[in-house]
Amino acid sequence: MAMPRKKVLLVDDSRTSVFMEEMILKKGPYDIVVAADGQEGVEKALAERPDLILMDMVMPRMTGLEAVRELRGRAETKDIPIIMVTTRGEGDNVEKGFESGVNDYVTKPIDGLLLLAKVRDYLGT
Amino acid sequence: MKRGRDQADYVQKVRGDSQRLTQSLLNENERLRARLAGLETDNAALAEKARSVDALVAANETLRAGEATLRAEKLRFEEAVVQLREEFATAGRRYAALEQRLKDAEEESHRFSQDYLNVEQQNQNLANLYVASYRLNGTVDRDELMLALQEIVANLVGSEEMGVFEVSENGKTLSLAASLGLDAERYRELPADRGLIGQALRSGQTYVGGLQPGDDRAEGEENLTACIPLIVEERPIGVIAIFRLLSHKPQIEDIDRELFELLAAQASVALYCTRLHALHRAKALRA
Repeated sequence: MAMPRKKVLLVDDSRTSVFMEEMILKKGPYDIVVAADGQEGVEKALAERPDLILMDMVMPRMTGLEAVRELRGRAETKDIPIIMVTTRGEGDNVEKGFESGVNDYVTKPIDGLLLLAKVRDYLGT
Repeated sequence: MKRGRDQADYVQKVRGDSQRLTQSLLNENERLRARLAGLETDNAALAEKARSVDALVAANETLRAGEATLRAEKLRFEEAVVQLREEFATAGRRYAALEQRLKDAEEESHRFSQDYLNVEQQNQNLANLYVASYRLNGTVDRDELMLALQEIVANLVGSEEMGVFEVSENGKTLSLAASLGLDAERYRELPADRGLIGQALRSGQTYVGGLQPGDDRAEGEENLTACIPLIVEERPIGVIAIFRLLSHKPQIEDIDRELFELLAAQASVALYCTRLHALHRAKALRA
């Protein structure tokens, strides 16, 4: 029986990073939606209602943390799991992410197996 | 008269004797009754004892029968114990064999898992190289290429301190063409004939590793992690210098070295292409 497909929103201004994440997630039953900054991420989350969001932190227009706070403040998106993708793996930065409402985090360079395991864990796929 | 008296005495005597005899008989009778009553009591007690003995005899018979049954049961149990011991020994051997098979299966599973991880790691390495190659060859625009190089170093290598240097017209200096996380003024121009960056440019060999005391380092090279020379048709045109790695990335790994090779091969051509494209556009605009 085919596994139900899940929708994953990638929010990152780096085309390299998005391309990499797409290549990793192609291995699973996921439909990918991409947003190039936090503002577009919020808009696409409201429009597409993804099952999971991978959120970069440093982006133009609206940062990842701001986008997460915005999403957590809206009834339509407050329960969507968000995995923070960051180059900063230090405790303080991660702590800020959790305070804003992210569920988990991965660091760049992305470990594909780890990312896939976390996505599978949140989506039950 | 005397005879009459004698007769009377005699009668009196006989009567007395009779009375005594009667009394004696009565007493005897009474004694015999009492004895009879005692004997009846004894008889009843004996009968009771006899019944008890019968019960004991019956119980004894039952016990004898029970004992025989128990002996037979004991024999059966002993046989069963022997059989069970044999079965236990057989089961023990089978358990040991199954345990060995399980251990073998676990080891095989572990090997498969390790193989799977290795394959996945190789897949990821290939994906990294593919993404880097795709990004380098996806544009002829200089700014876009510089952005791609920064993203490759940041997202695939794991450093947010890097610079792309180009060889100046006279070949004596290296000029900073693009950077990420560096003090641009400090690194604006570096000597092309000395220091680790200059050495990588001159030798055409990628420099990888921590700085050692006595290294020929130029100013600003304290935190250099790697330096990739960019060469087109044996002519050095620049370098990519990578300084400190991200804090959670402890060291350069094999995949990073492969990325450096790819950058050396493709970034140089891509950079050269952007120059040609810029020249072509300039000519086109002039025309």
